[in-house]
Amino acid sequence: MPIVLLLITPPILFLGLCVGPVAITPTEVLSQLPYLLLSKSPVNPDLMSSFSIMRELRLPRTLLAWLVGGGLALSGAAMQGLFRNPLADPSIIGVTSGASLGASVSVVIIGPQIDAWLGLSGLVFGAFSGGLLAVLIVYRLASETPLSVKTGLLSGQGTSVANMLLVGIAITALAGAANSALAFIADNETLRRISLWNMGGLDGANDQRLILGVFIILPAMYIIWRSHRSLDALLLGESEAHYLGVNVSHLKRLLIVMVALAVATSVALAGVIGFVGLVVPHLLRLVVGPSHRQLILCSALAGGILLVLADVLARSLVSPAELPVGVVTAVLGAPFFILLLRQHRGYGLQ
Amino acid sequence: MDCSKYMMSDNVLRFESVSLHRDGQALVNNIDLNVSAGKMLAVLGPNGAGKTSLLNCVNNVCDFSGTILLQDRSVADFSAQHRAKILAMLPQQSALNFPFSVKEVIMLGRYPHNTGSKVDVAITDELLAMMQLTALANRCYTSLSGGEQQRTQIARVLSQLILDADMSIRSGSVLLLDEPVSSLDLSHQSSLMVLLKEFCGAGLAIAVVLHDLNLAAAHADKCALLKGGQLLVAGTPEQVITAESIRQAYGIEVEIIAHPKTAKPLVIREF
Repeated sequence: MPIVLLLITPPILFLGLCVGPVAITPTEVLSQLPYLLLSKSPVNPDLMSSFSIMRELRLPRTLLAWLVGGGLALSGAAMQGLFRNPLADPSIIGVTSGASLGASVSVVIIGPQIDAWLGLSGLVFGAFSGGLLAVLIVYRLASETPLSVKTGLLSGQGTSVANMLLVGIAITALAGAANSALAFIADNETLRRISLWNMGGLDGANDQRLILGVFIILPAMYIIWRSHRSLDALLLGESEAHYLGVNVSHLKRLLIVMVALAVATSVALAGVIGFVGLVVPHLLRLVVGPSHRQLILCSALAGGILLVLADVLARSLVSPAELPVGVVTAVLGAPFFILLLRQHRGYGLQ
Repeated sequence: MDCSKYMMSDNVLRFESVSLHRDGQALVNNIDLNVSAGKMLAVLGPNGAGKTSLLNCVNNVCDFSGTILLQDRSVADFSAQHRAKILAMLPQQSALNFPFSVKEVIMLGRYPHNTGSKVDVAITDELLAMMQLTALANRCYTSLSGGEQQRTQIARVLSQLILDADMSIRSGSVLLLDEPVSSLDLSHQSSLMVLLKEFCGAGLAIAVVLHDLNLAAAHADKCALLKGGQLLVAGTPEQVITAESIRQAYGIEVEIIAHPKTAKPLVIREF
């Protein structure tokens, strides 16, 4: 399965370079591909316009979609393992709603147009810090809430995932309310900007955003993947994992920090993209089984493929306008998901 | 490897004045108890007597008072990996609701070992046969019956203590089993106890929570009877399973006769 996904990745990425309001033929993309990756200008000056479309817009955009999709799906797989619940998704620890609020705050206060630093807008920083702050609050509150006697076998240390789930829901609701309040006081232009951002979009992709993503999301993904054996053991239950020699509280902290980093970065760079983190790992579990070594790897690859495809559709369906990519992921994936669930009766929620 | 450092009958797990309080209530009250290498200790007592709580104290993050020594060292002094190779525990209930196959669940027990997948597969195959699960090896765990799930989990905790493909274990290893026969039929109950005795023969120390006094009398080397968090009596099955101690612990009248074949105590209930 990872081999299959790996093999279809290059054609999908290639498609991302070809498709758009200005169609570029595959042969032209192919002939320019080496220069695209290595230099800033084409060999043949006649091709300048298509080259710069690919170099400045489509290449960073496609790669960013690939990275964000992979990061979200992999984070989803990790959260489903950590919470031992196939319905968990990366937003469960409050990171998405926190990032959303952070983005709204920065749009309302700073305004949408100010490019602050390195070509990254204030919105990116607002979303990133909002996401991390929300996770920090959820984690602290969940750690300080007393554990119930029944789940508190490992009491005295650590954070109960059940508490995290509940606090996460509360913080998500709170951030959602604050977000609505901001939308209420915002003027029409700001309001539209906030709500578009909440639907996800990769139109802001550039080299700076891509580099930021590569330096945060990729290492986080690698660190999460390395915990695959401990995640398997954790599925048995926390005390079982402890007896197997897993440092459960360390594992929880590590996963939450890495998922928070990956998701906060994804949301900051590409807006709120639902569905990928929840459904991709769930689908792949039907195919490769629950063991995380394969599941995490395949989720990352499939998430990347799905988001690149969704983005290709988003910018070609109503061309020259663009659909929000979050709308496309949901419309693409939901029926497929329902179909698979119907075929694998009994493999979903037990 | 520090093999066979522990001789048969050495106390490899020792509870010394162990107490566990929660919400002002004593779940375990000042218990002294030893589990010896190569022996099986049956932990008996009515519901809420503190049997599970006592075993949970061995888990080193439980905030009990007193001392628990595993191979003469405090459990907290072991590295997680080293501890996991010599101490395994089967909890009463399993929380596993992900669709692993039976084989994969048993393989999870190999977590602390770095023996390579070839050895792990050999050990898993052997355990599948021992627990009569070979026919179910590729079945989805969540689709199994309660008893089949229980046998799978027992195979998993056994695989955690096995060192190599020869199925050897480190002498002085400790296995804690919390009601391992609660879902098993009569035939699997006895075959499990016989299998556990074989592992005892290799130097494994077992503490097993049981409700079936006759099963305990027939197979355990030693029994401990708990009530209200306190140890009522510990000793050989003959010393522990008496009409008097059962009246004290459970508040019921029973008659004890000698088993016609083994001469072990046999509890007859007066209905």
